[in-house]
Amino acid sequence: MKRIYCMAICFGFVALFSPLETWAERPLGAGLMNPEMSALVDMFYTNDDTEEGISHLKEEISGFESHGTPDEDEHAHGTEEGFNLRHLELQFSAAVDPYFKGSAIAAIDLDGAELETAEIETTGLPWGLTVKGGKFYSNFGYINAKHAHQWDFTDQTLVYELLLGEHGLNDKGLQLSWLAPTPFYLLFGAESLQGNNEKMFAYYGDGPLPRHEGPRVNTGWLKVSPNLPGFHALQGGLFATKGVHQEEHDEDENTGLETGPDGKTDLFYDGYNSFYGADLIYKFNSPKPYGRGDFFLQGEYIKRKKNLEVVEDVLNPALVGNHQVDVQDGYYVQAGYGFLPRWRAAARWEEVGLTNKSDLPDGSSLNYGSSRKASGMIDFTPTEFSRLRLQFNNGSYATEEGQTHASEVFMQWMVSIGAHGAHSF
Amino acid sequence: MKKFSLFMGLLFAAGFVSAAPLRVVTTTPDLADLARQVGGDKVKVDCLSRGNQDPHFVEAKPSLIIKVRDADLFVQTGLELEIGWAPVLIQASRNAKVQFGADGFLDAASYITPLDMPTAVSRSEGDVHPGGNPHYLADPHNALSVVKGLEKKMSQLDPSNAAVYAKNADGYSRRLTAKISEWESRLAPVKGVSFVSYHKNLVYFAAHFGFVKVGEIEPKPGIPPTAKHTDKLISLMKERQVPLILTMPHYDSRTPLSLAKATGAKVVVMALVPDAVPEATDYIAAIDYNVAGILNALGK
Repeated sequence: MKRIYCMAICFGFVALFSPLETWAERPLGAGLMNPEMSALVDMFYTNDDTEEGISHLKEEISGFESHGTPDEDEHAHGTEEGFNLRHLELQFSAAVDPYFKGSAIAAIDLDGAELETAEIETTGLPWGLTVKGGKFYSNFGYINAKHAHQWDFTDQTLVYELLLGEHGLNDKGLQLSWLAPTPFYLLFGAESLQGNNEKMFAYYGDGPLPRHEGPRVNTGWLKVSPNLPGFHALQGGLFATKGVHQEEHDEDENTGLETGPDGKTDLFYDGYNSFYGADLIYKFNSPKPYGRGDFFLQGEYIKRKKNLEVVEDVLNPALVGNHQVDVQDGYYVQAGYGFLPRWRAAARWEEVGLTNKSDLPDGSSLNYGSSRKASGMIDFTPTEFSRLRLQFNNGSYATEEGQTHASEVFMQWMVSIGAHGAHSF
Repeated sequence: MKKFSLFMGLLFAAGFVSAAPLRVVTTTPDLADLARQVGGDKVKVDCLSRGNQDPHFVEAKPSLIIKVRDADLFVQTGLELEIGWAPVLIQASRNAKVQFGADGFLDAASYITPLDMPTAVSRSEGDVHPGGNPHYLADPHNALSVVKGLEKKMSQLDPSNAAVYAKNADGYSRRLTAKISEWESRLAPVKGVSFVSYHKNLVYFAAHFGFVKVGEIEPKPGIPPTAKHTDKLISLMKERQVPLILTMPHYDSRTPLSLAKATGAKVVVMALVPDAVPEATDYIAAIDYNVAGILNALGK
């Protein structure tokens, strides 16, 4: 590293002492560092006014209940009241050779390290094609492919968190995308993913029944953007995803309530889980410096349909072969404005369970209520490499005990050191 | 008959291909004008930012990706001016011709001698550019070098029109050289005059025309003005009797005006690139505008 700067300075001196009239090409200083490396620290303080904590409340939202996660340890990664160190993110990226680009993000937290993404991407394919492989964020919708530090709010949107988990759809697999040769921006993508999501496409329980082989999920999406003049930008997208899904429940013979895994399978479901939706974003990139006057308005809608067949039911064997169909949806819409140099304010409105229905195997139906959340935030961005944020949430959640209110506060502090990253749309 | 129409078709296609202009995309309007001057009617030039915009922060919006996708030649200022957005556009364009290091990728900074080379690089000093100050086209001598570089690059990509590019570049260089002498003689009476600028983007301009930079309104590059720094700048300006405050249209006018009020110095809004102000229709017109503005402010 030191040597690189010495070289750069030497070139500078050589150039300084050569007469200005001499026209010459100078070796470029940029891109000497290989790979590009950066580290990101993201910490926040949070508090809420619920008795058992907001994470617990969110697991009880009717129609969106978590039936125990495939890996019980995941629970420990949830937000705790008080200080949270989201993680230290180590990022590496570089061109591998003339054909591929590689990048990896290792997320290190107090419980250990995990691979957030590890991607190989083609750079030399013709006809606007790109193939990506490894572990990556699915590029459906708008917010899914954004990393936590790129979000405009500290927390994940409710609809993503309840349907896909805090990290969204991030999985091992392959992605093929095509930038169409149209006079406006039109990008198509298809992905085949292993299916290890914490809320969908996985196997819940530890029974002896055979699991589906991967890859278990397929996605398809498109993004389109008209050529708006000047500082305006608009992008819309559509997406659909379908994958196999298996669930296992242990029910108490007398109460019918779940007892938790006791090694004895009472109920076994097998079928499909799918979701589809749309996203829309408008941005105004103000010509003023330090982000003043910048504006964004974005929203996404997602609807999921889970269709599971009863494969085994110890208590009611007559129901075997019948289906349980769950349909849930949700949306968020958020807007933000740079009201002063380096200062932004943003508001977000979210609703889940506008449709919130379970058709049970015995032919009966249940309709649940909807949950809503309003958020407001102000953040201060001293430079491109640091940000401080204050955020309030106020929500009303539909649980078995009725509508439950909860307020949350977040104070977030993030910094990035190392290579200067570029910002995608 | 079939063979004949196929032959005609091929002939037409060949004619169409050779007549298609070289598609050039530049990051900033100054490079766009220089590319138009060199390329003439043999090129089609598109620019990714506007003259009244902060070139450090441009949204990498999808419509810009499409422009880069269709380019035969991508020209950037370099020295990390566009590092926050150009690399994303190049990658997302999936255009092999203009990827970093490809024949259709041109970093114009490779033709100039950078100033402000930092001896130590730390972000505690603000938005420091490790390769040197990227606002080098404020010195028209550097534009001459870049014109030569553009000519060489366009001729390499489109050899059939090399003679045209050489002729255009030569003609424009003569015109620009004559203008440089004109600007030098017009500014000769005010040589050595000191100024403060909003951002550190007039270093090359000052070096060429003999102005003395006293400080910047930004306490550190990329950091907006603070009351404390502005107070220090006022006493410094009074002490050194600084008559000029040079700013750009995309910066807030409040701090320059309050400095002017406190010190009696004159504010000049500079067109660092074409289209920064309506009068700055091209690169030469922008410098004409700046020279006139400075002379007017100094009462010459």
